[in-house]
Amino acid sequence: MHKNTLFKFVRTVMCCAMFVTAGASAKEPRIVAVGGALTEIVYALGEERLLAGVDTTSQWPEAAKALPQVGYMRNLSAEGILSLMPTLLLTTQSSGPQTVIEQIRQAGVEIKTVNEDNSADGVVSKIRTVAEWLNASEQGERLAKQVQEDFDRLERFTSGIAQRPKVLFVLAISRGAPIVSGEGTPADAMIRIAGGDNALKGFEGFKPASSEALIEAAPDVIVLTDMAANAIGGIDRLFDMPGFGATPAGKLGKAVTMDALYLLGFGPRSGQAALDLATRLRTVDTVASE
Amino acid sequence: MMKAAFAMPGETKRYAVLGGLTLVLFVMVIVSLGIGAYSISPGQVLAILSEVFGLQLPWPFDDGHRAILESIRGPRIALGVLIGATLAVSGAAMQGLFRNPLADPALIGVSSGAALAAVAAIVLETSLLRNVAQILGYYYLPAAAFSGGFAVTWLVYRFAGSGGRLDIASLLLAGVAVNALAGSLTGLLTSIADDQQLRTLTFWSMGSLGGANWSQVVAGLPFFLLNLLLLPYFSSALNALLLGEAEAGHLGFSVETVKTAVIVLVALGVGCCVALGGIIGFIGLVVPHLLRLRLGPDHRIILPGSALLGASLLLASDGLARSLAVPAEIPIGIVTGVLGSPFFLWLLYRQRMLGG
Amino acid sequence: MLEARKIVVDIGGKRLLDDITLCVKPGEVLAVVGPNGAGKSTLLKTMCGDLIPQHGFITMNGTELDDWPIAELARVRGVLPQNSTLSFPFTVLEVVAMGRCPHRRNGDPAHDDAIVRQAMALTDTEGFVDRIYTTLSGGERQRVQLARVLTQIWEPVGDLPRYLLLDEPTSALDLAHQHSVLAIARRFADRFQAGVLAILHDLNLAALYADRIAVLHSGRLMAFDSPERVLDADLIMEIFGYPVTIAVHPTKTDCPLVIPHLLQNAE
Repeated sequence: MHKNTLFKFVRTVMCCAMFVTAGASAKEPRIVAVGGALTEIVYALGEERLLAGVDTTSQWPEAAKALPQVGYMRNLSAEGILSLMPTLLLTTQSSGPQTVIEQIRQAGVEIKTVNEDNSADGVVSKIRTVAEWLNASEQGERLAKQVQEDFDRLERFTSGIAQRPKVLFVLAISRGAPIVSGEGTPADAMIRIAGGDNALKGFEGFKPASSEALIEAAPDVIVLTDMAANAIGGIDRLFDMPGFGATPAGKLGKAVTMDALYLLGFGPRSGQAALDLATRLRTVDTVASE
Repeated sequence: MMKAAFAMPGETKRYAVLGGLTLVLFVMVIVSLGIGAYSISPGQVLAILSEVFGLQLPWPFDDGHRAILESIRGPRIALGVLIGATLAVSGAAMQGLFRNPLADPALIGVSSGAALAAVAAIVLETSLLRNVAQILGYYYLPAAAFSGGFAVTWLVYRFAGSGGRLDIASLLLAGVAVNALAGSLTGLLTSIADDQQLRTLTFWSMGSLGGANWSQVVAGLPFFLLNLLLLPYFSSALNALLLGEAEAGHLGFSVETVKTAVIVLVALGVGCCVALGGIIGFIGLVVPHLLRLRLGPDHRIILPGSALLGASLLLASDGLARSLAVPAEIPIGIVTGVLGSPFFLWLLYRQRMLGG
Repeated sequence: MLEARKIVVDIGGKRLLDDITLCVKPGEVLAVVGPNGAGKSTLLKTMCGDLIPQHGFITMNGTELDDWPIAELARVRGVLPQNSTLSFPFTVLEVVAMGRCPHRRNGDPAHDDAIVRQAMALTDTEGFVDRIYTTLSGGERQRVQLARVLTQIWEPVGDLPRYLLLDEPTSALDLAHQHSVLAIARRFADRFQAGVLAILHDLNLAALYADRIAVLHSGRLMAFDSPERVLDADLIMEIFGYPVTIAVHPTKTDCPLVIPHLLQNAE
């Protein structure tokens, strides 16, 4: 019985797939996008009809969530992806496992990998590259220009301000221990672009930090993902947590929450996100704290 | 009546059981080839298989179908059969060696050693071990896990043996201690891992047959075959060991050789399983136990039977892993754990009820 | 001949066997007796190769035990353990059939089957052939183990003499089975010219079934001779610390009968 349902499901997927293929011109690629930024770019180019599936990090726009999910970008399954009959797999360097990517390549699917360059130029060139792969250079150029403008506006905004706040970025909070950003992360890059300084230096990646390390880092502002804020029951609670209250940010109650994908995705929205962050870093209201 | 009862312990029963289990495995292989996210009908499976032998069957298929079978499901199922069989046979052999039906290959440190080495490999990939990682390429992680499993087993073995004698009780204790140490070191490495590494090692530790390819199967084959072909050779010796070590010696078995050989074979086989499939629990424990409940403890049936049933069960679990969340996958270690533990509890409960 | 020559065994700094020389001849039953802790089990373990003596050596048919290939040894010598650790649910039949392991390489299953059946009939165990070994009583287990050891050396290999070493084979048995087990051992020695060494506690059983008795005390061999010479009231008093009277067995007149006294101060 179970198997029947399964077969039915697979058949439905296949039928849809065939329908979509039939409706499109022969030359158009059928895409599985792995990585939130890539999915966003495809949507921003207006080419979402080409998407056959996305990974679980593709959470925006809302419509992307309705597409078949091929799993987490680091734990892809060859057959799952191939069952969506793609002709093109868009990936980033951190997609994997490598053996699975290799299998998909051997099955005749074209694999395109973008560089993960967490900078304004990186985003712009990423957009151009993807647009080229999708034969949508025209839209690509328009989008690239738009994004470039966002970054230019950001630069005009930040260049007028000499003082750079020290920012602590909190990715997640599990069992009371915050997972914070060191160097070399998208968060680190975003803080810099937004005219701040990462309060934590000397280690790479996201790592759990002790209360004392937080105080030692002495951030002026704390940026949390929405997820982290939810985990502690709202941003109001942040400064009740050990360590956070004793930082300069804690004394003034300065904390900002932002959507992780929006802030860290380095997709087409990143210029806006950076501008958003830059503004909020400087205009942050004091968070109510007891 | 009496005469029939006196028939030698189950030559006929043995062949019947092993024949039945072989059939089950064969069916499982065919079914597994036919299920998955990508729809291939059983007819197409047969058509593609028989094309290898130059036969043409009336089920049309295209290159996509063939590619899926040849390069994705084929190696995956081969690896599943080898890993399932090796884990189950190794579990059965360990239970015999430790004279404890709850023993598990993990007792001699092979799994925790492999896990430690794999986690170290993941965490240190971009720093300390960068060159090693570049040289080994795809084989970096499997090679690390395999050597780690073997090294830690060797350590346990050295602690337990003295004066040419291996003391099974000391082996158990050394195993517990070394497992705890390896676990702590793994924890230490995990705590210094960054977010991406954490995700990679989480998925690794849950086990998966995804990404299997023929070159992995070929690389692991010698170790799997050593384990699967040689362990059953020690069936009678393991039976005799259950009487006691001295008794096994008096029955003409070189007890020390048997113990060492079994440990080496288990370390090779299970090390290879962990290296290529990650941590896949419960097969090694449940399969021999289940067979023993039905067929008694004779290793001459239990060892080959475990190989066949272990392979079938792992294929079934992998089938579920592949098809429950299409087009994504569930880690197979999760499937075996979720199915295996309640099943094991049910077995224990039933045994108690029947045993009074 | 199975022979111990001047063997000394020390374990943990304690001398368990001190300069013991004795032998079991083909066709004879040798009973080893002695108080608790005298070294009887240590002697048996040394005689079968489980313990290596610090001094002296053990020979079997003139060859040192160490030089016997272990598989060869198993074909001509069976050892009955005092108790077995078997905890897996083997059937009785499977346990007895394990005795055929040493012969399996050139064995014929039907022939092995026949031997297993005969050994089980002889030890009165065929009644629980399909029972699970772990559900048997202590005495039943002992007989099953004896059946296993008998199947092991049931047939001669070439013209090599066979040996049977029994560690307290009657300890868990009722009266009738004590005698049937020792009668089996006796018959084995008489009919097949096998050498039997048995550790016994009951001096009268030793007197009835053994050709010679070895008396151990604190690791030393105190006497080693025929029952009528060894079973002497003074020697028993000296070794066991208990007064006895030696009488003549009412039906087997060449056999001494040991009758313990009732101690007056034992309430």
